[in-house]
Amino acid sequence: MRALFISIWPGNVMQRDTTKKYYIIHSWLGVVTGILLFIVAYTGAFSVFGHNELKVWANEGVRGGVTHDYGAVEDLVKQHASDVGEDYLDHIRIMLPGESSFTRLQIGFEKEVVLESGRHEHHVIVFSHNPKTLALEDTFKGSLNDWFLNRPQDMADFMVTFHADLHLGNPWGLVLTGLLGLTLFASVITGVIIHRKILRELFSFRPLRSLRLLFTDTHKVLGVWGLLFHGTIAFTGAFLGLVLVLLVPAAAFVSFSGDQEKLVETFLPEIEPAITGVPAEPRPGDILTQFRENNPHVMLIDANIHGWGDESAIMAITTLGGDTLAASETFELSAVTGELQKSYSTFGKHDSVTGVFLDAMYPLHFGNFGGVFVKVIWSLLGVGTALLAVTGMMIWIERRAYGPEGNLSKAAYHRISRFTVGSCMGLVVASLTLFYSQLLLRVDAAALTYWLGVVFFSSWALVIFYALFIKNSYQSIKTLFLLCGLLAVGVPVLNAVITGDILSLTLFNGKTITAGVDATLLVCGLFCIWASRKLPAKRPDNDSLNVSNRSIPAEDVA
Amino acid sequence: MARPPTLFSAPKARLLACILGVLVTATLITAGGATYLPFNEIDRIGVPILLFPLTWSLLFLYSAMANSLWRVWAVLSVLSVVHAGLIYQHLAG
Repeated sequence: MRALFISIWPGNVMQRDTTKKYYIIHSWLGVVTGILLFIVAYTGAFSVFGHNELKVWANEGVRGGVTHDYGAVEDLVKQHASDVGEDYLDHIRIMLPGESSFTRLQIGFEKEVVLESGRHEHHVIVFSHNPKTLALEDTFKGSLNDWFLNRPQDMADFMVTFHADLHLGNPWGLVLTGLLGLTLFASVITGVIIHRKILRELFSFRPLRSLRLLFTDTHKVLGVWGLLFHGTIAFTGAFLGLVLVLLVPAAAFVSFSGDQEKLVETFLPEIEPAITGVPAEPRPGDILTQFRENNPHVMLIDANIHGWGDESAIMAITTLGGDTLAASETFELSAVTGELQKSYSTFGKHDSVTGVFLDAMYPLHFGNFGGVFVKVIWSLLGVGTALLAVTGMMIWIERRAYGPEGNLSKAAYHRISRFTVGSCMGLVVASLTLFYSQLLLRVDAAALTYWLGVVFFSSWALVIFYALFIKNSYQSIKTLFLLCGLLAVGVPVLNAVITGDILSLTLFNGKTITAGVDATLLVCGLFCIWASRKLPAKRPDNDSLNVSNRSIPAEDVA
Repeated sequence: MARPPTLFSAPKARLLACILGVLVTATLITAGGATYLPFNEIDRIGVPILLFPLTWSLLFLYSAMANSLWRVWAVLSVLSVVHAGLIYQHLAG
């Protein structure tokens, strides 16, 4: 630790070397992780709206909101409960469409079985109903894991999953994104240490003086203004990425002899009603109606009934969007009388400091704690993190291709530059193709994720090849900006043609989320087209480090 | 002509310490922390988990910045061995 503390102590004779070491660590961390960080940050900015804005846009059935007839829902629950058999009535889950990640009304019946190995497995029967007509569309019977893995997905799920694990799955994808969070956190710390005149840099933005200053000033301004956000995102991202694959197994190994289920139960105890054996009729429909009337502004995610048919049965209603900084809030009520027994956040059942912070991790990462306004800020700041990564990469390349640093040839740095441009712009193009795929692909829901992946990765690869092939990066950036703009502007048009949801109509017929997504794409598309027209088609003749250094103070180089 | 002194001594071994050594040590500290922290059961397990990004970052920056690589390995090894010992004692006892 001595080295760490001495190095940041002002006035130390080794301060200059130490700052240079921090600078080298900062730049190499950025270069090694830059493109991946751009990918995770950009998809993160998208994922902020994954649930439920993009989810609603992607599913025509829930556009314009879903009005719930809780009485009809209760009838369906009772009808299915009589069909599935006694052993599936321990836990009944009602998943309501349109409010979060569910696009159909799903009623699940769950039982716990003990395997020969002694492990517990949850088996479910899930009935899926049309969100508006409530007609039964399909029935799933199998393990809870299989149901979760095989659930139909759409472009919103595709993007959120890509952000979480880059579609590399558990554990490697989660490890990778977790490590990226750690390296971003270290970059934030080293960035603060090397930029000592941090307050001056808040207002130091000179975009028109030279390309290098555009990159460095953008990097500094984004870094300083978004400092708290970048740190928060890095910390929570590292935690969320590594918690399941490294931290929980490690903690379970020590505290519960490797039994991870037991650890999870300790933190998230299951609801266990004190069964009396006295039969009583549960009233989920009335209770949900009453609850909705009393809490008109929260999202009802699901309702879980434990101890069905007993007078002690409990109905736990999970909500989002209350006045707490928590992933969700649960209200436990009597499933018979509707009397509120207790309410708590996800990790709030215990009186612990840890619970408060664990509750905050997810909302702080995804910005879903203060309505759409916070989501917009989070998304913009997420784009800022992505730009921070890419400008950092470009500064590193500029200094080596046109300055005194670097051991490779100029051509090699140009290739790295073209690859960076292709990877970053290609991701933007690929993310826009998801909207087209969602509207145009006519395949089974189960196969949709596969085809979304084919279109997404193919278009991304094509853009990378294009950027590598075109020697003039300025021209390729200009062209790709135009392509992004046209693609974004085209989405509302295609949406109007395919679904009939014309932007001007959706603004007034209650489909505000659809209108919001279309309008955002339209504005972003027009901005990209404008930017494409403004961007230079070739590198300015005297825009290099060698020239710029003559008129720019040395301290700006850092 | 004499080569200019490098800022980072033994870069390959340092890289190994920064990548592998730090991750292993931070994980052992996180797991071992639950055996001695003076909190209730939930916080004893949860606090080291929550602090993992901070633990990793401090160890990483120390390993990258310290002048003596020998000292880096010594610090990482002592922390790892102590926490591995605490875990063993907890599981055996």
